[in-house]
Amino acid sequence: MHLALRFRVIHHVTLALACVCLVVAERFHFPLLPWFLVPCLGLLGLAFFAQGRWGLPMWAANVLALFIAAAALAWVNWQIRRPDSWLAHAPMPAGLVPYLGPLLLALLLAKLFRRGPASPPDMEFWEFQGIGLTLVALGCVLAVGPLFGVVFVLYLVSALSCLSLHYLYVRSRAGVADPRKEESGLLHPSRGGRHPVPWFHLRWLLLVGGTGLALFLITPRIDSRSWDPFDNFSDRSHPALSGRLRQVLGYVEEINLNRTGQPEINEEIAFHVRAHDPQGRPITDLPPDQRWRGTVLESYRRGTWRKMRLRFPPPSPEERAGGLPDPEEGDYLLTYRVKPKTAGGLFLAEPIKAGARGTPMTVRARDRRGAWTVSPFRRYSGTLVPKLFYGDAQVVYRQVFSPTAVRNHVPAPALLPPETARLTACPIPGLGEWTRSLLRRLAVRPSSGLDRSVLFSDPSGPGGPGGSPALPRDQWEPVAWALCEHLAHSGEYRYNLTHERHDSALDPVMDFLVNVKEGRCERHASALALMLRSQGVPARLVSGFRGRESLGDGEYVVRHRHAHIWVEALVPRQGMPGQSDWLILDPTPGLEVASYGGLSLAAWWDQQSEGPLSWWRELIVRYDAARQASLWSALSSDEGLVSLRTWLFLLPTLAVCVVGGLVSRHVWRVALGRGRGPRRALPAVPFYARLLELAGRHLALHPGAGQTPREFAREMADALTVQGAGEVAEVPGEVAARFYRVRFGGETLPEEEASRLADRLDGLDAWLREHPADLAAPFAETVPSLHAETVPTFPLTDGRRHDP
Amino acid sequence: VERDQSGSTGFGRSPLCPSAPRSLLRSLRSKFAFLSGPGIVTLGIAALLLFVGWYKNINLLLLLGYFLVGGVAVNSLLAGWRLDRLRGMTRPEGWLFAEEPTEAVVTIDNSGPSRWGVEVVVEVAGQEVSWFVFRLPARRTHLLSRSVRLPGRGKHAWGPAKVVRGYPFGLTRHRLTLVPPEDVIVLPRVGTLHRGRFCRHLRGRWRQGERATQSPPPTPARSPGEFHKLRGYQHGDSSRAIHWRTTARRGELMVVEYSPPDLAEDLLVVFDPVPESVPGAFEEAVRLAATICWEWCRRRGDRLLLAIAWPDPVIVSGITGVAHARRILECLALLQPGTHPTPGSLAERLADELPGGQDPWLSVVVISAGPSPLPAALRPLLRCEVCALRTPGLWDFYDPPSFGG
Repeated sequence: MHLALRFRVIHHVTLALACVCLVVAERFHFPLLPWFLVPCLGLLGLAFFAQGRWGLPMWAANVLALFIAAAALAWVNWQIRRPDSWLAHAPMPAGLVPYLGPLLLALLLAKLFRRGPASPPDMEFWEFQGIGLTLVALGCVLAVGPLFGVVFVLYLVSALSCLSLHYLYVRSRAGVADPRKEESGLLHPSRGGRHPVPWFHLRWLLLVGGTGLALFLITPRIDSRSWDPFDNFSDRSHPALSGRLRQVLGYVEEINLNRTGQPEINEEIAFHVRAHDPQGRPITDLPPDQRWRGTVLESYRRGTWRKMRLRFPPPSPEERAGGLPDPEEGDYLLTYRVKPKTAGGLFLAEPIKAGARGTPMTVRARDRRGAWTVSPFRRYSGTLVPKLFYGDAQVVYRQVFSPTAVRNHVPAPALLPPETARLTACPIPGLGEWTRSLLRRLAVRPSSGLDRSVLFSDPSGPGGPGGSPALPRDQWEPVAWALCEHLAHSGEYRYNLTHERHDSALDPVMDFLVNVKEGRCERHASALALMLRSQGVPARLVSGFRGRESLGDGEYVVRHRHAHIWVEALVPRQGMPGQSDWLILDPTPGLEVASYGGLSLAAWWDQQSEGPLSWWRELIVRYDAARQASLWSALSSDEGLVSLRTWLFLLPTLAVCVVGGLVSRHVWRVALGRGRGPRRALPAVPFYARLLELAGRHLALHPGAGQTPREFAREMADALTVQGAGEVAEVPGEVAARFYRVRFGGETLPEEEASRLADRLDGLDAWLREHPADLAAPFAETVPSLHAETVPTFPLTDGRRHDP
Repeated sequence: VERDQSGSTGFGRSPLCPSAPRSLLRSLRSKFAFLSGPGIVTLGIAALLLFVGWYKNINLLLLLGYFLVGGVAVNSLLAGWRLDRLRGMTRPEGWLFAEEPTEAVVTIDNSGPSRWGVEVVVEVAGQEVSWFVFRLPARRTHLLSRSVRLPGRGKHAWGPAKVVRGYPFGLTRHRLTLVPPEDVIVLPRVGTLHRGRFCRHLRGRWRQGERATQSPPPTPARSPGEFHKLRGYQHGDSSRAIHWRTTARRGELMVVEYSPPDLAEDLLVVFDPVPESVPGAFEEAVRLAATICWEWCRRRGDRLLLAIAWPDPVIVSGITGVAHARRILECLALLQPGTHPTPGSLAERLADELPGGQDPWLSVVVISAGPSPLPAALRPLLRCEVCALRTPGLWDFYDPPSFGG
């Protein structure tokens, strides 16, 4: 393929990939945009085939640009005014950034067909590629998904190839002026012999990619906050957008059980915590399954859990101001560093010593003077809930933590009737009956701790739906434990990251309990809470984290992948009538089971792609200061050093292999004469050498630079024909033809043919000797443009005046 | 003919130096790159992307910026990678005549690996001649040539010859000077002198001036003389001069031109470098002098003297031939207008050059671009007729060079 054609192909391919980049990045914002990609690519292909032969005149292009601008303004205005549009809820003016993409796309297409004043092709190339780069940069701002990564890499490969071909194409067009040299193949790319024009060179790509990636990884970061375009340009929680977004595993304050699919694991750090005793000594044995409480979710409707708008009683003076209480024996202090916007809220380790009204708060934040006097939490229903915090400023607060406290029971205040009604609301028909049948089944087992004789025999308690017998209050806790154990340890329900629905007509919780029986913690917790509610037991969900990651020296981090949901059920306190406790229940099975039972291509693909996806997420998209620190600490740890030593061993081995390969290639090319490489010295061709000698001696003709033997023979034959050489003029052509056979075809001339050719050359020599004067005349015409070679052809007047 | 060992006429030559030791300066110069226009723009865009990406934690933007920086860095590395393995020489092909096409030839010797996208640039008398070599195979020597037209006579710079390489992306470029610049002398452009007519012109002068005092020189033989060349028929040519055999072969009328009759003629050309009276007259005078000397040197064995009538006169004397033509043309190439001469000093110098007294076969021509006192002053001193040629002028024996092509 000719260089110009290659260049144009790769130029248009690069532009097409830039368009694809943008469309992939904006497909969540504009679901219809992928449909416009097809005509876009079609127009690019049309522009490729049209080669600028026809297009829009300048005025038409300007009118079209005005039309596009007006249409875009009208569209944006309509989007803003639509109440259900996510743009109506997006921050302004940042929310308009995604709209730049379609505008740039339209601009690119309009420019492709604009026939303006003649601009240099070089400048036009940079204009087009500049627009393409802008499209990709916009895509980088708006995209996070791995699909964009694939297209992004393809674009980079194509762009580098395009740059390389552009350099060759433009410079060769500017530099080649001598058609004879062009024909020689030395200067002309399409006749460059055995070396094809490189579309792209793998070494350059690796070098550029490696350099860029290394610089990216070592760039010092100032923040642990990852970029999320949906937080900056739109409202992620808006239903118009949230349904299209990929789920991300992390702390949430709203759970939508209707969504299906597998979430991305979010390795981002939610918050830092430091554990130390009152003397400042680090605590290094924080429980690995430590729970961190965030918020409570009490309202369930149509598969979605939401937190309620809480009404706090006015704070007491002790709550409003004051320091931390003195830690008791065995207590220690947890100092948190949280960015509410990144983490999603503020968190406390469970169990929380909420304390009664009027007692000092066990959690305090720092004031401006550095004293622990500010209270970022409020007492609510036996626990502490955070006040509202906005922005990304870091909040530092300290909690007096009692690890020896009872972990499953937390004292609860008496509930008011509206609160009781809210916590026992179960809008799932049939769940009460289904739960009772389950309880009856469970009561058969002695290990369940349920007394079948007293189950559903309390007429005074709150009854289930349909007027069924109520569960006695003293059975609330055993029932809660039995249901929790059944969900967590019976083996019937399993943990799975993937959410599925089998019967979309059912409520998602009912579908989970009856059909799916697999899911993440929110499904198990939701099922337990709603089963308890269906039996009149007040229950709610708690959203927070479980687990931590130690950084050593009492420092811990909690990541979003530690996000967890569990259940609190209100049960009567044992032996203390009229008082209640929040019973903390965690019905989530401990281990994840395989999602796919048999051999599945999708399962295989998921397993294979998990590594690159994790790499993409951890090292590219969400790479931040914390991950950078983790990367360096991992590299400098013992395991990292071991792997480094492994690499240090592997690298020389690899180098030896590469050197061996190169030597083999050299042997293959040079010693065996295969492939490309230095040409072997070909045997001299004597009859051609004699022809050259005759041409130089009698005709002052020598092969020009880059002139092929055939061309030289044609030139010599022309010179002979002019002088009337007749049949002798055919000798150079015959010699050249045989020269090609011998030199490049590897043939050996038969003896008879060789002697005939020698006779022909003798004839030519004799003819040239007989006609020296006639031959001299045409070449004397070069005077007075006399050059070095023609100077000796001065006519001599007589014998006595020859030069000495 | 004087020839040097390399076989060329030894003019404007730079040595091919594959074995020259690699100097530190040369290595350093090949290590540094300079940014091209697109490279500067690319770095600017990369800086913008890096700032926004770093400040807002947009990792993909940061990565895109670093890829752009990586592209520039890799380009800088690859463009200059072992570029100092290239050696070269450049020389003009043949003699350099002003305003006539000449071949600028560059020889590149690549002792390193195969190279793509090499640009070779030679500055010739202020104009840049460049070649883009798509691929330069390893361990080969390549010849590049291009026809250039030199602007005027005199001393001009030839070179430097440089290799510029921006491969693979063209964002940065490495430049390596292969051959430093050197001065070359561009000879004045020569026209056509009809020697026979010129000789008749000189003899006519002689007859007019000295017929009464001296016996005339022998009449030259009417024989046609030696074959000179074949040329196309021009209006006014005798039909007897048509060479019918060549005419039949070439399909156009060809005329045989013979050299002037065999006559030993010595010539003294005196150039009076007075300031020109008409713009362009001085250059015309130089071209006329060059043409006469050039034509005289075509026939070997005669004596030709060129006298530049400076106050301190310069006389180039010798037997006609290539070497003498070279010396005279170089002298004329560097000629500049001067003050009026002193005929006495010129006569003294001429007396030194002509020790045997006045040569009866000597013809004297005084060429000037303005009114010159030399013809009148030299006539009694040399005791011969002096032919004065003052430019601009029209003579039947001289066709000035055309300026069309």
